[in-house]
Amino acid sequence: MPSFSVSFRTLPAPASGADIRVLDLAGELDAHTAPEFENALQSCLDEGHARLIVAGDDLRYVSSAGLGVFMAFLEPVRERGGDLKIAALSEEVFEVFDLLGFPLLFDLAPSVDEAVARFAPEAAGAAAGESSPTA
Amino acid sequence: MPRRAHTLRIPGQTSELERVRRHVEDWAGEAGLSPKETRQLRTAVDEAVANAIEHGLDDQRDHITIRSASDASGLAVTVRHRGDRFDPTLPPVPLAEAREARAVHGYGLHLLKTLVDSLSYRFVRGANEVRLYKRKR
Repeated sequence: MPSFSVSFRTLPAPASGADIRVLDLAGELDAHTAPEFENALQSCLDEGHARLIVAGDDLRYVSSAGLGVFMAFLEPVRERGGDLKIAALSEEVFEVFDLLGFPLLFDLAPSVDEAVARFAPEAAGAAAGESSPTA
Repeated sequence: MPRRAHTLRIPGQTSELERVRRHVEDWAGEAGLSPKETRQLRTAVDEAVANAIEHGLDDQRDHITIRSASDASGLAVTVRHRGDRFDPTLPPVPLAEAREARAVHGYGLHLLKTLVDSLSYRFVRGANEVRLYKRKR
């Protein structure tokens, strides 16, 4: 069984605008598997997707190499008018994000549905930082 | 509790990191660390070994030796590898600065320092040695 995988799905936008691409992460994101995550995010940008949600329901571990990938794509996505939202992290994975202050920069939502809702125009002004790890 | 010691020798490749984490989890459990203490030590050791692979080795054929020793108070893990000096105890770029710059690297050292009770480094006979210690609460 591979220790890490990324799968993709597309959800309709909550109101108008482009569809939302969800990347479901499973397994352990470390210095070995981070390039796979990087390629997955790059492929989203190459296909013109800038509204991205990374879902961590099945993500069991993240190291600094994985966090670096999130950081590398934050501005490129926002420059294209989208966002890189993070949803449904386990308590254990959230601990690492929190330790490094990443909730100050990223919009962390308790669920994918909540992250989708935050792409609605009326939610566009919502600041990152009102984060909670789990539903 | 009897003292327990273990040694794991791995090639300097990132594909070995998962195996390192499993071993650290086992050692920490055996030493009586709590699940949270185990997670914290596991992450710190993972970062130390990843640093060794990325910065310190002369080439990928070099090996990294990871040793653990438990005592009544907690568990020590030592990561030893030949190669250029790389001292993870030196002050990293401040977190706020790294975040502001959207830095992609440098967070591992913060995790390493934050997640263990003591961190020490020495360079002995051409080898880097990083020692991490996690106390039981």
